[in-house]
Amino acid sequence: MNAPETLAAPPRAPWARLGLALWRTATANAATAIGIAAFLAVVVLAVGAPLFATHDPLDQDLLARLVPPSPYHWLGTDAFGRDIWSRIVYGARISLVIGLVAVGIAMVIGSGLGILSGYMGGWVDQAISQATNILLAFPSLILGLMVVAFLGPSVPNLIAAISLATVPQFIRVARAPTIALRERDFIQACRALGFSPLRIMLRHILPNIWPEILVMGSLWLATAIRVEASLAFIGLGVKPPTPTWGGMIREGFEQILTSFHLAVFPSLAILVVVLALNMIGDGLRDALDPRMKESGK
Amino acid sequence: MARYALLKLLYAIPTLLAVLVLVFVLTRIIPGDPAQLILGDQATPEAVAALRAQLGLDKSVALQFLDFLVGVLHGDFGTSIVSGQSVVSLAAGVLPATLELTVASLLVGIVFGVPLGAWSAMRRNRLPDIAVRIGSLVGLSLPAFVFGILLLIVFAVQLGWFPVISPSGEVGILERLRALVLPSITLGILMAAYITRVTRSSMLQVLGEDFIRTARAKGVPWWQVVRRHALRNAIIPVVTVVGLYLGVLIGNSVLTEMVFNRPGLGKLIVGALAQRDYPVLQGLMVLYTLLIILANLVTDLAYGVFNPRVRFA
Repeated sequence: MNAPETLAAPPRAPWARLGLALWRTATANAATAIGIAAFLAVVVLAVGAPLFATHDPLDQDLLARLVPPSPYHWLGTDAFGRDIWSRIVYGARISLVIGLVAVGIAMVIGSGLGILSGYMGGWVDQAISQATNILLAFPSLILGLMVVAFLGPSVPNLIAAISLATVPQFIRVARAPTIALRERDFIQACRALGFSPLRIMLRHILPNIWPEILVMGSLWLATAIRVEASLAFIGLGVKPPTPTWGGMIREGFEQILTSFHLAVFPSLAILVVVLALNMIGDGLRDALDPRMKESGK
Repeated sequence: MARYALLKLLYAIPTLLAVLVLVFVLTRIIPGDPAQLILGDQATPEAVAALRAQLGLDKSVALQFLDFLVGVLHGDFGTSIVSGQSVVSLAAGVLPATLELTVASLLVGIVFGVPLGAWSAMRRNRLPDIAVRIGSLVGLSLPAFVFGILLLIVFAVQLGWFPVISPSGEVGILERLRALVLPSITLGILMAAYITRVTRSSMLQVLGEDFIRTARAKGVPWWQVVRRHALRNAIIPVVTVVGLYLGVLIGNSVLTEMVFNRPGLGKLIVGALAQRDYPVLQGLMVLYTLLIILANLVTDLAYGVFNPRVRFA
């Protein structure tokens, strides 16, 4: 796979490559287009939550408890008479903030360590790879559960837990292409010119593996949001009454026999976001993976 | 083969040690005094001191770690401060239920995943392929509790085909199996989604190989080529994936057990969380770790069985 590439010119500018890939997949692949549209819609809802919410998400109306969907309460109300639509809209903020920040941190630390590991080789590589393998042995949910159970459920702790579970994925995804790039002519040339390792890693290697890292980011953002919701469902989410999707499902689950709309709507919200992100990640990965193109996609 | 197995076993030791350190550190960086946390604000200083001594918190950190290590090596994972039972006996009581669920889900995953993935690959870019790809992506995106709740609403609450809450105590084998259906589908769907995707891409790769064309050229019927040549080679990466996601399966069993109110390790963890039973939490995490490492080990060995090339590498 490397041999023919070694002869080729350095690849196109990374942002152009990513933009092109996004555009190409979005136009060629309906699933990716739908995913991008759905995810953007959720982001808009979360950012403009005060505009889109019809009620205060914390406002209790004890005379309108467990109301089924109606024109006044679009998705009905919960056991405290709180408007479910408004809570879902505000809950999107928690899901997105925790997911984006956790994956963002993991992305920076993970790709940094991955590039370092791949470029330096030797004992640095050994140490980082061993640690990665140990963390990889853990499913993200169990690792998150361990950390949050002991540190306590708060936004920073949830972010820390999810980052820790996600870091090894980015280390792995950054390390492999770095090893391949290290032997390429233009990197050898950089070294011959006497560039410092830091400069080579940041200015010459990072830009080339950036798209792959972002694909991983979109796929792991989906997982992060799923893990956050799962932890909230277990009872390790941001403390009530703050609306979170997992927490709403947890509360709604108690009323499952009588008013199942409580659990269904936040469930659908999670499904939409996670599915959208997976669609984007999948489409992008296919577009960026040269093997998929060769086989006549 | 024995050498290979032994080597894999040796590799598991540093992982185990590292995880024990991680669990130990996590339990020590709880903000505040664990004894105080357990007893609450009203506790007398004497009671707190007594519990500290009982938990071994009055010793130095190094000694505590040594105690912890020695305990784990002797199969002593701690004692519940709520019920006074040892973690091992608590876990042993519910382990069969968790294993039953995990194995059943794994079966669901393989039974649906492998044929769907192979079918999808053979009908590439046609309707079945597109349907299977969308289906597996949805399966991948459904958190276990979301899918479990949806199944519960439709098949248990609305249609009444299956029990809403898993029966406890002694029940007939049929009742037991009936109660296992929805939970194992809930957990198995995730596995099926992963297996479908890997089987599909692995199958696509194998179907393009020269030996497939050769087999076809010498007149071997198509279904036999698929079964004897293509599938047999395509299954190797699937084994790895099954192993990788066994951990995910064990993790998601926590959620599934909660939704279906099944006894199991997950329910135990959630109970311990609610009661701040830290020794149980710590013990269960070590136990989970052991299970996951064991699962990885079994995968490595299974890999050697399915792919003879590895054994001699």
